[in-house]
Amino acid sequence: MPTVTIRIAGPAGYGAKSIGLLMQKALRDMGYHTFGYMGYPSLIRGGENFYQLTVSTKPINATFSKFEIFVPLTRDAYDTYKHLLARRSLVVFNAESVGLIPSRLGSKNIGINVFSMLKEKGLPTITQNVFFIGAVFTILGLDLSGVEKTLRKFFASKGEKVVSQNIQAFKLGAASVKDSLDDRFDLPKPRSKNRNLVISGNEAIALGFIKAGGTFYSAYPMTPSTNILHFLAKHGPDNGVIVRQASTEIEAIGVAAGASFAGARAMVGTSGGGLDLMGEFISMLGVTEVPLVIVDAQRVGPGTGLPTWTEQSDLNLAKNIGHGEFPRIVIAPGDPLEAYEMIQHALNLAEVWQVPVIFLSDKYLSESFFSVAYDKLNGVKIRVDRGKILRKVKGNFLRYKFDKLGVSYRTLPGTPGGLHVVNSDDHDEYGNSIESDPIRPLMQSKRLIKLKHIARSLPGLAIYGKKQAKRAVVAWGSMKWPAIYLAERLTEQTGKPWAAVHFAYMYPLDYSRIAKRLSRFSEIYLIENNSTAQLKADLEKMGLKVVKTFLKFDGEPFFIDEIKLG
Amino acid sequence: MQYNSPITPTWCPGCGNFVIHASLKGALTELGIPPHQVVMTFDIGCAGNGADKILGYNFKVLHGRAILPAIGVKYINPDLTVIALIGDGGMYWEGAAHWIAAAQRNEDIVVLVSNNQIYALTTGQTAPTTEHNYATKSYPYGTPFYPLNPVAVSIAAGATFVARGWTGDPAYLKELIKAAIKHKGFAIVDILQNCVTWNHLNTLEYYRERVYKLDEAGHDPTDKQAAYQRAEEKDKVPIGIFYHVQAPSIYEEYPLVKKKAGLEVKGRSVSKLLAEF
Ligand SMILES: Cc1ncc(C[n+]2csc(CCOP(=O)(O)OP(=O)(O)O)c2C)c(N)n1
Ligand code: SF4
Ligand SMILES: [Mg+2]
Repeated sequence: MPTVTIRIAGPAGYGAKSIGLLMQKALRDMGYHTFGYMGYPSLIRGGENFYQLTVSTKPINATFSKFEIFVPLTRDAYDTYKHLLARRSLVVFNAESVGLIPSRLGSKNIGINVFSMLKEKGLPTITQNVFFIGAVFTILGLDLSGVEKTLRKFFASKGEKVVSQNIQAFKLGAASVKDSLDDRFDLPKPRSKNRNLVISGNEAIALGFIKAGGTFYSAYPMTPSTNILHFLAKHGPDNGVIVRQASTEIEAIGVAAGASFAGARAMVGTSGGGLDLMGEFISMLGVTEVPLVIVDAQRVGPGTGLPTWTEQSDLNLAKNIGHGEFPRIVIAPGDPLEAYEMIQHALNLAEVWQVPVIFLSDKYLSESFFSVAYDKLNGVKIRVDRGKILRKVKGNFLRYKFDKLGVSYRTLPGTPGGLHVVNSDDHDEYGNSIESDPIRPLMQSKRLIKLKHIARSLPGLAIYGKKQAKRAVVAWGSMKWPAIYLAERLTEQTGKPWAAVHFAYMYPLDYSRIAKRLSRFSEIYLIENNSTAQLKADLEKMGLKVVKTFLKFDGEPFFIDEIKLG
Repeated sequence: MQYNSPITPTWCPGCGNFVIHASLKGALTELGIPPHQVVMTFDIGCAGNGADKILGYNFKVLHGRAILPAIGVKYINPDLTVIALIGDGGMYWEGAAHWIAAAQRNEDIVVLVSNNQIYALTTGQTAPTTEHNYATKSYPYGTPFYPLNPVAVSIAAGATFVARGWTGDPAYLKELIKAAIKHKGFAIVDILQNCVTWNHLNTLEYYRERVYKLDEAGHDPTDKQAAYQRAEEKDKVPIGIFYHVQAPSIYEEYPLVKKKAGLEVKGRSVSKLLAEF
């Protein structure tokens, strides 16, 4: 598959992310498929941020460990990442800030006196970012005719002056390298005429929440979940979502529990440490049967870990968080399209089963920008299902009435005749507290019976690849696409078909149904973005043999080319 | 009475929580609020054990967290009367962060604190309000620090209605609760509640000798400095409204709350938003 990977890097505050994202949107507007991955330290100033963009004429949903085109915004940025340059590469830089770059075999350096050129035209130095977009696109020989429109849209909110300065800087950048066309990179003309969205996992979650009629969101800021808060805070007022920044994660979930009890469709968002703090309330949701969706955008733990880097290490936590025994659901989507769809499903599941649903994203999914076909995302149709809410009460109302499926009707405060106690103490059918009592085992079983029915009703797993494949790469959550690409490479290399198996519905699992579906695979590779392979125990319980496990826990995701095949 | 629950209370005979519930029921009845329009959230503790002893849409939460769901309910259905009932341990220690934030943000809820100056349900340990040197099970040689001042802290944090009640005067307590319910904004009533089992110092007799009524003493509840001074009094114990001002309600920042948008759960279109991507 012909691809080009571009990395822009610079100290925090230099705008590496915004040029990267703008470049990605410009390429998308030309008809390319793109994938944007970023890294940044937990600092406001300094440290080296990067935005890495992979461009292709075909759909692309991950990136590579190396890049061909490098735009270092400072000398430090160059020194930090030069070891990741691909063998055949091109470095485009401002000679006035980066200085001289030693020549390397296969690498071409294009140093430009950017500041002088901008100054001559009276343009502010910040426009250097767009200057580089003009330069890189010209070197790649791309058709620049549509870029002005992209720039206009991107800068529109900043006013006409900023728009015109950036357009000038773009043209200046293009002109500065007009004789430096580099035809070593294989980037054919794009064919896609379909509209593609450039969207991150967090944005997809927030959009899905709005789509599914979510009405209350509360959160305490914590990377990498914070963009959900930002998006909903900005768009909530026009879309019927009440957003409340909480003073702690405990407050966030406690207030959301009240909102849900009162009749809202509620969600909270956090990362691992915040999820820990929410544990007691999650347990309380279990006994009170108050619906809630809890998003955990995972990052590297334990402790503060690597707060701005990725890891899939909270699966066991999500499956076990909270004291006592109670049903919950754990979902881990594989990309923004799934995040958009599954968050809507999660909100339904929480209300239909009256259980907490923990929705696992991670830094990589939450903050990477995928290309998603507009038609696909817009085509997701999930009907809002609020489960058993009784709007008019006749006769005696019992909030926790025993039920075959374990789910009883709830009434919303304000409904005449529907009084009850939502009770953190274990309770009788009305909700009144009980002590050790014959009702207790019945009530506990009523709650737990849900798990069996939930496991049966969940969609299970997805298998990608040829029907006759007898070998599979298994992954969960955000490692979906790295697994698919690994399966493709294995197929190519071994000449035998490999499939990829992706788990998004993590808990409860219907072991016998899943084991049956996977029984055709005699050889299983497992890849996880953590250090202990948290899904492995489940696979083994289902009698599946994992012959190789690939783990990565340096804070970065698996890259397409990363796993070396012997 | 429409608020009476069929469940027999489990409090000790003579416990001040009986008085608090009676005053609360009286207040709600006199204000003409039917039980289905009331949400009461309860903490864990003897105060919290009232969750099923009074009728309403009740929510028994976790220790220290009772006010949190109360806040959430009000964002979704501001027409409801929302009252949190909680002990001094839950409010002023375990849940202190929530207390400060809710007061600061002027969240529109009523908080009734059963302040018995002890951890009662857990059988008599020192509470944030226990008097200096009072011997408890956790400090059998005397509590080595001084009690927190809930009234002063509430005012400092930003509460717009701060009162102190006493279970020795149920009629007066009822009036305070009525005023708290009518107030728009964060209303806290710290109620000196006699615990006949674990607090043998701060008894009804103890306070009968010390209390006086702020309104009878000519206190102006809009005067913040005067309120602080009254809150700091040591020998006499003022009861009544210390501080009461009208501040902008938090919902003025949230037109959606006024419209009860939180209850409008239905599938939406995101086409307009997608144009951004
Ligand atoms: C997280 C947690 N910690 C501790 C407890 C045990 N506990 C129950 S009630 C209570 C203190 C009660 O004191 P207070 O809040 O003053 O209520 P009172 O019983 O005096 O009315 C404690 C520590 C608990 N239930 N939950
Ligand atoms: S222990 Fe104290 S607070 Fe608890 S019920 Fe008895 S008297 Fe009331
Ligand atoms: Mg107490």
